Amino acid sequence: MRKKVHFLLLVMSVSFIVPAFGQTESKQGDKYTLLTMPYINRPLNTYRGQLQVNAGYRFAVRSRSFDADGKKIVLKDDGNSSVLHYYFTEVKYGLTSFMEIGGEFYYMKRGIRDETISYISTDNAYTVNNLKEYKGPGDLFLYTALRLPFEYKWFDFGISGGIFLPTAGYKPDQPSHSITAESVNAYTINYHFNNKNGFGVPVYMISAAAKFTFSRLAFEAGFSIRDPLKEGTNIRWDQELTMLNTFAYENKPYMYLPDRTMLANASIHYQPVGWFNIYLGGNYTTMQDGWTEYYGLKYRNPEMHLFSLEPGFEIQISPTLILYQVAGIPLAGRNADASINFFTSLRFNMFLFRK
Amino acid sequence: MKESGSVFYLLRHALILIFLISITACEKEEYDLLDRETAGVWSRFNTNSGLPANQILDIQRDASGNLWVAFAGNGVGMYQDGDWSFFNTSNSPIRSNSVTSLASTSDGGMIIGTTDGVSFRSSSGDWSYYTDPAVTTLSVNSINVLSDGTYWIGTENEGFYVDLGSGFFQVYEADYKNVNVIEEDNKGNVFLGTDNGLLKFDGSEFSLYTVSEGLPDNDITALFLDSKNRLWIGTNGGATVAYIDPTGRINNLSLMNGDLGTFVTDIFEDRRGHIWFATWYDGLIEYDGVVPHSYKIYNGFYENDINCIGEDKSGNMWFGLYSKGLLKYTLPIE
Repeated sequence: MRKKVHFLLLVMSVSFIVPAFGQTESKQGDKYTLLTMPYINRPLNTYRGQLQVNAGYRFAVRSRSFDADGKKIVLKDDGNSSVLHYYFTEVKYGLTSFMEIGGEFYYMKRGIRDETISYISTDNAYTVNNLKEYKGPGDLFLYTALRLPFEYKWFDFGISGGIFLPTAGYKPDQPSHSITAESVNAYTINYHFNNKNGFGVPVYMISAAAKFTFSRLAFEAGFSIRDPLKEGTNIRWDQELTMLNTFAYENKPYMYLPDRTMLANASIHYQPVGWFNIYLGGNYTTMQDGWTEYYGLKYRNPEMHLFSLEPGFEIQISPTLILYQVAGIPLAGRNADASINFFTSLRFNMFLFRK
Repeated sequence: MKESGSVFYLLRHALILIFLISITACEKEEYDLLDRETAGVWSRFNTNSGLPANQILDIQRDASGNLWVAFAGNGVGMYQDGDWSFFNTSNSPIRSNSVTSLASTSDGGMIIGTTDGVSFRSSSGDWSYYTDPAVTTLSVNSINVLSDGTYWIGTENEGFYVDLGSGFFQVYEADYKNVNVIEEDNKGNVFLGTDNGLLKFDGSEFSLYTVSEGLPDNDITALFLDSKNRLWIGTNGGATVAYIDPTGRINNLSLMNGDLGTFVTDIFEDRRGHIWFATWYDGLIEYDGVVPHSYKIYNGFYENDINCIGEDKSGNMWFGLYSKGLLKYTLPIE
């Protein structure tokens, strides 16, 4: 299966790179017209010479999750809800009106807290808090996207391929646990694991998207696969409380393979006026086939499924600036966070060489 | 136009190069993966599941990875790839059915200590035995095969026996005639746990550790050298357990079991580095490096009296109970 995907990637990459340079570009409108083009009339890619810079922020409250049976767990009942901050930036450039290159980068911060546990005996008492923090930049994603080689009227189709380069320092930093004496022989232990983001190995992604416009409505659908190219090695930290009530740390390596991720989405858009577009999308994500080594044994990662509803809108603030807002509402899933999340993005568009 | 043409040329080749590197860099192998649901699971084996007895006295893995289990009054069993083979006086030349201790040899053999001497079973299935003709009944408490290949046997009332390669000889001192457990540290020192303290033999002379040196009790019942070269010491009656760290200092650790005296019967380290203490009356205690975790009847465990601990070749922990059989525990994953 993996070989087939790789072959597909090769064929796709060669097939869309080579003919792209032979296309004759259609006549395009002036810069102002292109920049203010309503969503329903825009092609899937940027126009030739168009530079688009996106800066976004996603906020999520991790108050619920779906367990392995799909049952929704209320995390705040156990006192282990948390928040996620996700900062995102993306740069796209239209080499031609049918070929786009781009890069993405993110920074994410989240903390996952476990339920507080107390251990009490006649001679000692420990209250243990456990925080797993994930903080840091993610991997750099570079991609190329192609769309149909003619001007967008009512139907568009595009494919893209790219790779996440393992630029993030994905190995966790040494934990920063602490212990405080509450009274004689009564202690509170705060475990604080400092994890980072990133896959740690190259991961490629291929995707396809289609768009269809009818009157003031547009329909868009997409599908993408993200798959790691190889297994990686990471470290896991162990801790020990010394006789001096300080923590000593030691790390041990382990192997892993990130999950293959498949994502499908579809959305319907309505454009009541030229500067405003409202839409409703559905998003299905599944992650599987990855594994993690524990103590010399390789365990299959839990298979993740998540279906979310995503209402949103975009507003053209100025000819160069678009505000994009979407909310993610998880409806069903397995082994997944069920966090309602909000994503706000500002898109800055300009033409570098067009008058 | 010329400039844009050269840009395209470079881009085209760069993209082709990226994808070719991506494809040739693909290094994934197919593995037999375990389901996560199988981790952190306790399984129990007893007479209902085919074991000859529910009282387990020792667990040992041989050099081939087979797990050997000593059944009180019922010989030994060898667990190999899911199947049991049992050896007792009716189907083998084993010295006695009262097996007390086990030790594996580097060539795949097993040394079986009984209340009437020692039996040896080679990897090819040949049996031999040793007993001291000068002793009426040689009751074995413990056996250890040291890193230099020498065999050390601790006995009840007869001191200990050593085979340096030319046959066993006895070392007897009345104050230390009961040798409960034998362990070797990473420097080649041999430690013998007796009723009256911990004897250390450094290759030329003996020294003694007692409560005066900081041990929790003088009745030493369990010894274990962990991966950090700490020699863990369990006693019958100490309020804590102790360990001698690589610098030679004795440290004490509370097991948080609330008892003024704990009877530690065995100590073992799992693949995560957690130290397990088998006890009588206080169940099983897992020390994760920070907090001891208790497994007792009151929190749903099987029994409060645990005799011994072992590990199979997959890293699963095995616990021998006093009266309720054998427990297998697959390590949990986070």
